[in-house]
Amino acid sequence: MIAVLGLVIGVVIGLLVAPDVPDWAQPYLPIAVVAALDAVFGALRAFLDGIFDDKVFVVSFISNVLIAALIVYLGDQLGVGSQLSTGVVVVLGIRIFTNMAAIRRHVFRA
Amino acid sequence: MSLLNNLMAHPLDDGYAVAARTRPKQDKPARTRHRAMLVAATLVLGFLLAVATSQNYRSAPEAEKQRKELITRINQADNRLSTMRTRQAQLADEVRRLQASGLSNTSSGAALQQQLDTLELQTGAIAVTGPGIKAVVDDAKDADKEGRLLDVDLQQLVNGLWTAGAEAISVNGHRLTSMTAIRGAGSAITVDYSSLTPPYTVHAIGDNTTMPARFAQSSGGQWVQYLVSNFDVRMTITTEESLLVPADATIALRYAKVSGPR
Repeated sequence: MIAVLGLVIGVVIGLLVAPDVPDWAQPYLPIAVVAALDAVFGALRAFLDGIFDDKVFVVSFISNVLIAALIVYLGDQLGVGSQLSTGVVVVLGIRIFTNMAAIRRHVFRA
Repeated sequence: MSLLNNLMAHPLDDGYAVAARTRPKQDKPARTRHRAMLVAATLVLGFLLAVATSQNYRSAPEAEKQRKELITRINQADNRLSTMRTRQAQLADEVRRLQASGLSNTSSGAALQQQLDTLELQTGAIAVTGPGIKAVVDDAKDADKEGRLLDVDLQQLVNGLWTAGAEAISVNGHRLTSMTAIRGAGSAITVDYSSLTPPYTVHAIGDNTTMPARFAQSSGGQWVQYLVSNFDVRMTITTEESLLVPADATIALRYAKVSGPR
């Protein structure tokens, strides 16, 4: 519940401040969001499993975002940016779905 | 498939399990700190989400705005071009009038003026009126690729009209002279380097009793007729008692000179 609250507050702040994203960062922002989503869902699952660790979470959150952006950046330099973005989204998407399934089992016992 | 299996089986960072194994058993207050951390992370996530989404929504109308701006600028430039053309035509008229008044004083001048009049009529330097035919051609109604008129179709049509005895031709108000090009540029047809939009109205001055039949027999006329019957291109030809074909005000020779004494 408290995580949802944080999410809502973050969205509100983002909408209110609405900073201009510089041009060079625009292709990486959506990938960074997906990577962050993956880290948060992983954390939520670990939390429900009872093995949550804040240090692991912070490190995985930051490294996820950075590595995802780095891969897309590398892809852009090599001319395969859109394909690599797709790859990153697929891998992270599968992870998110699997973690969501575990979270669902915890919450609904089903 | 082992990659996918691995992905499905271990979606969680291994760090959590390792940290859980090595962690001492008795730190209960860590739970509030964990919650704070989760809130901070979701806050950042929400912020990123909102920024990315709003950016996405904002850049769409931005592109639309730029497009509109470009269209306005093109229209402005077009308007400016047409006002300048009009002014140029006025000035050319004035020059011609002054020239005529200057030449009419002497008999040799009058002869020269007569020669000038004939030449201007033939080269398209002045506007002419007379009987003739008006041909309006347009793309097929469902303007897919096959039913679209190309530059070569317009060229054939005009050539057919010349063959049929036309003495002066204009396409959408552009006088055709010996230096006028009918060309395709992208999906538009340009005449005298200005792009036209269909329908194309072709005025041809000549003998309006024989021209329609002669046009129909010419190879250009047959070309267009073939398009009409096979690709649903629309064409209407009407005979007119009085047509105006404007002057090509920009006609000028920049490099060619008279060779030797006349």
